[in-house]
Order: sequence, then structure tokens, then C-alpha cells
Amino acid sequence: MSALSLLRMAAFVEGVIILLVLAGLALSVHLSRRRRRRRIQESRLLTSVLPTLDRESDPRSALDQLTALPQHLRVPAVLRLADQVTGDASVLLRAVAVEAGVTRVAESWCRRRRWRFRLRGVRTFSVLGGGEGVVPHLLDDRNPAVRAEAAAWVVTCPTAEHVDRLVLMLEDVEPLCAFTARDTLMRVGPAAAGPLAAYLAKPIGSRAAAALEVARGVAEPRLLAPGLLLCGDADPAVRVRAADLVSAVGGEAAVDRLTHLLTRDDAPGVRAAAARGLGTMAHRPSAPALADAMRDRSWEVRRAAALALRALDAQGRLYLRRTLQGSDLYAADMARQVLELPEIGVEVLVP
Amino acid sequence: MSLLDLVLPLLGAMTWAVFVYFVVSNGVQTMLLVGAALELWRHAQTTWGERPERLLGSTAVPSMSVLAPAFNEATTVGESVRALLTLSYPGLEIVLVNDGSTDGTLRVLQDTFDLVAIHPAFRRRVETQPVRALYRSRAHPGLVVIDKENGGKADSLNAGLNFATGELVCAVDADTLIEPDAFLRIVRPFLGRDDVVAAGAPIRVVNGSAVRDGRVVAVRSPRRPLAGIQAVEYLRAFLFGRLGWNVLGGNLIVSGAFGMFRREAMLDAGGYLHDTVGEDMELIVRLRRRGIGGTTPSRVTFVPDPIAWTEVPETLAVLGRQRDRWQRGLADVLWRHRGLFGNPRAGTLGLFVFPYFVVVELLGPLIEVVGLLGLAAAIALDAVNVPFGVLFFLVAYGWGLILSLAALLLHHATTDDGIPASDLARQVGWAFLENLGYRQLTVLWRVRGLVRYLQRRTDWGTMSRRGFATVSDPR
Repeated sequence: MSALSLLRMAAFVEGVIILLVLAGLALSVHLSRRRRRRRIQESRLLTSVLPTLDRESDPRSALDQLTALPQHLRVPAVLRLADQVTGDASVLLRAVAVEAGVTRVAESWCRRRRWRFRLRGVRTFSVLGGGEGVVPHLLDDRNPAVRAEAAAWVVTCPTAEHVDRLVLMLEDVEPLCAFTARDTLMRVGPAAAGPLAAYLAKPIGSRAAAALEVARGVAEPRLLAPGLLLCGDADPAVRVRAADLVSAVGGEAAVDRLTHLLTRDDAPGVRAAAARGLGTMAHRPSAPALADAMRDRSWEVRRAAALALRALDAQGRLYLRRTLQGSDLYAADMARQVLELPEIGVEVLVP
Repeated sequence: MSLLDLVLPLLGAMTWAVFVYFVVSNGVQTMLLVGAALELWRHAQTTWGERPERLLGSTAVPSMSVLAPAFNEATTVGESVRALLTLSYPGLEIVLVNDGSTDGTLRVLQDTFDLVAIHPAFRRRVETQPVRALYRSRAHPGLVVIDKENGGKADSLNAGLNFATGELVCAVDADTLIEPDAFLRIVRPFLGRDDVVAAGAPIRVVNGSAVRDGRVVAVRSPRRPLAGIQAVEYLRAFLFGRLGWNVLGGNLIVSGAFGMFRREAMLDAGGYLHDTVGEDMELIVRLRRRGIGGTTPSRVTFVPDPIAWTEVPETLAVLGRQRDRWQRGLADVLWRHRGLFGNPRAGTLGLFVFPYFVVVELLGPLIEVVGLLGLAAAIALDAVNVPFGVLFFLVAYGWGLILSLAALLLHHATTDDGIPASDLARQVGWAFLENLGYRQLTVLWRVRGLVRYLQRRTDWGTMSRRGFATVSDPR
């Protein structure tokens, strides 16, 4: 075959491909229009169904409108509706979704072999609630996206068993699952305190760091004891987070432990966390200890101590002004910097 | 034997060598297209029914700072900052760096956002020009303004990096429009993997679309050919040149107009380099290079759905300067990191991605010029006949056209811009036109960029823009 005929053939093949792609583009325009029509249909549904989702209205009207939609459009429509409602309306919407067969579809998705269907199923239940019969076993799904979504679903059903599983998921090798577990536990709030306290009481070493972060977000008195215990952990990262936790919970025992960490701990990060904690608790009797910490060899500790003193209002400012006159130039410089901070700066730095 | 007898076979061989180059470069791009299609499918499955706004109520989400450098932007800086303040992300910090502006940019910021001076107490982990003052807004406590001596864009970003407190930092150009939920989307890879150090997102062309209050309210295809062709070019570049690389060995470029980074990774790498015009790409290559051996996280990824918009040049002179600068930046980065070329320790980065950038992106324009001149000479000297020459041209550029059309198809099949069919027809027209003049011009500008790089020219050139406020509503 000559070069010319080879080129001719290549040009012919390219021409055919170009025509096919152009046809594909025309098809995509058609599909795009269909999607737009569907969105308009959904918007109309939203407008007409939303007012019917209250106790006084007849839910049959919402149900009729939902069931008028083709089966494959019902789930997306219900998900869009769920975004717009809260409280009683969302309870009603869920009842309507059950009647319209939406939850049945989601349940069947949760049992499918392909991960993308299981993800759709559990996501539907995350939004709508329900799914207690099918979602919990997806907390151990082999696909991380499905597992993470199942973790997010626990917000809708925070039983002790599910929360326990979430606490274990903090150690999941997949960062997405560990993140979602952390996020969900913080959203669950006090219900997570018991399982977290039990988990932190075990000798888990540096693995406690993630759970301590969550515990700090929950900040429940039950978490104080394990927090105090972990202030003595061998890992500085754990001690930093334990200091954050005990300062978030508060109390005399917390103050004692933080003062001990501020004056005795070897790690600058831990001393800084202790100073920060005493500032967060606005514990005025700790002002002398914080003023001493202004002479720490670590910039991080000096800054945390100065900001903590600033948070103690008049008494703290007095100590900062005294430090300005002191012989330690580093401490004086830090005191000046923090005294010159406008209120807005303090609010941001000492939340 | 005459000289002609020697030259003619040489011309023929050269023509075929260039043809092989076209086959290889378009072949790789076809692979990237397939990779991009797979990534888009996977993305669509993973994000079905997803509610990114769920992250808004999260206290576990990593904190984020936006770094926005500004130099002499008094007329637009207020609007740009207001647009940044409306972006959705929990506890978002905006760090605007006034790079020694002389036109009253700082005064505008002070008047508009009620700035109050704060003491510059922060660690200078990356060297920058001196910081004159730091301000925080009383009206928006999340807004910080750094006023510093002029040092260029990279220097400004480094100053912002020193001060930023977020775990993640997002570098944006002041004239980039970012979709409100873009941060909630671009953060995904950082939640999903510990080894991700940078993520990029598509930049689309705003020329022709309607903009209201810093938001794109109606997407339209540009009406002017130069902007229209660039719109197609951007779509193709971001789909293949970024998303496709997610599958085939990872990205080497995250656009300076909108990219997200782990702050610690950037600081550990030493921040942006000052003495290059390709500082965005240089940082990415350095981040990736640090990961060789697997001891340091270095994954760079691309997320297809957070969108940022930029205005592209509408005159040949400005476009030429832009492409010239891009090519100089590319040449500089590839030369600085030449140790990666063919380096088996770097895996696919050294054996495939880097060589592709050298051969196709850097030397491609030269090869193309030589090929076109060789083909013209061969036709003139009767080494090849005219039908052969025309067919050669059609086949070589036809493949590129297929790739452009396929990018359009992929884009429209997976997004719902709501653009009318007439706009789509126009985009198809721009894709056809691209190969007839525009592509050859960009090749010449890129060759000029290479020559200027060899002359050690480091100027940015003047970039003039029409501005978003002047973009009319096409409806």
C-alpha cells in the first residue's frame, strides 16, 4: 500500500470519526434538554408539594404528585425535597417516600453487588432517614465511599451500637472514612461521649489522638477522666490533644493538670496547649504561671501564654504590662505584640 | 549526484518524522481522553446525590485560607474581595496581599472593609520582601490584608503563606471568578487521601457569559473567534491535560488562577520560587519531586466539578505575550528539573509524564514548524505531490480536531450548562477554525517564547483585560 493511499484511508477514518462525534454532540444536546425538562418538572413538584408537607394538609396530595413521576425520577425528586424541609415536614416527607416506594428502591440498591448502587442507597437513607435494616452492615462495606456514607448516616440513627462502630472507624485506613466518622461523632454530640470515654480508657497509645480531637468537640464531663489520664501519655501529640480536651471540659482537676503540663512538660507543643487551655478557661488564678511561661524558650509557648493572659482581661493585661518592663527581651517583645493586638485580633486568635 | 538528490530524501524523511510525532502526541492525548472519560464516569458515580453543603456544618473539616495577591488593582479589588467573602466554606480565611501597589489599592481596602492594624506576629518560614503592616477587617474578621513591599506574584503568595493559618491554602488570581461552592468540592481529595498535596480544578472562559456581582449567571459561548477558540482550547486542555493525567501518572500543572494545596507541604518545599515566570508549575514539579522514594506525600490531583472562570485575551498581541510567557515558564521549569527526565526512580513521572512534557509540550512547536516548512519545501521541490501534502495536513490536524470535538462531547455529556444549541454549534465552529491559522500562530508564539527563554528574558508582558463588569448579558 502506497503512502498516499494510507493517508487517504486515515483521512476517511478520521472523517467518519468526526461525523460520529458530531452526532454524539447532537445527542448530548438532546439529553441536556431532557435533563433541563426534568429539572423544571422537579421544580414544579417542589413548589406544589412543599406546602402540603405540614400536619394540616393531606399527605395524599404529595403522594399523588410523587407517584405521578416515573419510578427512576422519584428518588432524585425526594432527595431535592428533603433538602428543603426540616422537623415535622421531613417526617411527613419520609412517610410519603415510603408510600411512593422510594425507600424500597433505596433498600434494593443497598443490597446490590455494585458499589455505586450501594452508595446511592445509603446516600438516600442519609438524607431521608430510615434504612435501619440495611444500612448498618454497610458500615463494614469493602468500598470506602460506601463505608463513609454509612458513617454519615449514623447521624439519623445514633444508637450505642452504631456509635461504637463509628469510634472504631476513627482508625480506618481510608482517610475519608476516618474523617466522616470524626465528623459524624461531633454531630452526634453527647450520645458519642460514653463510647468515646470507653475507647479512650483503653491503652491505645498514639491512636488516641483522633478520638481526643472528637472528644474535645463533644466536651462532655464523662470525657474528663480519660482526658486527664492521657495528659500523661508518652506521645506529645496525644498530650496536646488531651490538654485541649480537659480545657474544653473544664473543672479544678483540669486546671491542676494544665498547670502541671505548663510548668513541667518537656514538649513545647504541650506547654503551649496548656497555656492556651488556661486562657480558654479564663482561669485568673493561673495568671502568675502564665506570666512565668512568657519567659519560656519556645516562641510557641510564649505566644500562647501571652494570648492566654490577654484573654484574662484586666488581670492578664496587668501581667503583660509588667512583662514589658522585665529584663527578658523576648518576653517583653511578645507582651508588646499581644498588647497591641486589637480586640478583633484577639477574638480570632483566642476563640 | 546533485544537492537536490541529497535534499529530497531528507525532506521526505523529515516529513514522515513529523508525521510520527503527530501520531505519538495525538496518540497520548487520545489515551488522556480515555482516561478523562473514565475519571468523569467515576466522579459522576461517586457524587450522585451528594450534598457538598453538608460540610458547611462540619467542625472536622480542615481549615482553609485563600491567598489573593493584588498589585495596583484599586478599581477591582473591592469587588474581588467581596466575591471571595461570599464563597462557602466553614471558617474561611481570606489573606489578601497588597504587593506594594501605588494606585491606592490599600486605601480602597481600608475604606471598604474597615481594616484595623494588627501586629505582624507570625513566623517567617519563607523569605519575602518586608511586610509593612498587617490589617484585619472589623466587618469581616476572616479577612486579613498584608501590606508589603513589591516583590511580584510569587513573593506575595509566599507572604500570604507565612501568615495563613489554614491547613489548606487556595491560591487564586484576583481576577478569577470562583463558583460559590467550589471550595466544598475541591476539598474532597484532601479528605479522601492523606498523600494529596495539591488539587486543581477547571478554569473556564468567561468571555461572552453574563456576570452579575462576581457570579456567572448565564453561560454562553464567546462570540469573538479568538476568545471562542480559546474557550474550546481551555476545555480540551483541562479535560485531557489535567483530568486525563489523574489516571496516567499524575499532574504536573495546577493553574495559578485556582488551585488548592496543603500549607505544610508548600512551606516544607520552600514556597514559590521568585526567579521564574512559571512559578505555579515549578512548585508542583518540586512537590512531586520531593515524593520520589515514597517518603513524602506528593500526590497532585484534579477535580472536575469546582469551576473557576477567567477572562481570556481578545487581541492577538496580548494572547501572543501570554503564550510566549507560558512557554518560557515551561522551558524554565523543565530545565530546572531536568534530572527527572527518564529517571526510573521517579516512576511514571520520570519515564512517561516528564518526557511527554519535554517532547510534546516544550519541543512540539519547533517540530511542528520544521514539519510545516519541510512539507512546503517538499511540495515546492516536487519531493511530494500536492494531494499528498494536503492529505498529510488534513490527517495530521484532523486528529487534533477529533480530540477537540471529543472534549466538547465529554463536557456537554457530563455537565448541564444550559447553553443553547446555537452556542454549541458555534463551539463546533471554533473547534474547526482552531486548526486553520490559530494553532499555527500559537506555535509561532511558543517558538518565540523558547527563543526568548534562551535569551534569558523574564518579563511577564502587559496583560490587558476588558473586565467582568463590561461583559454583557447575552440573553
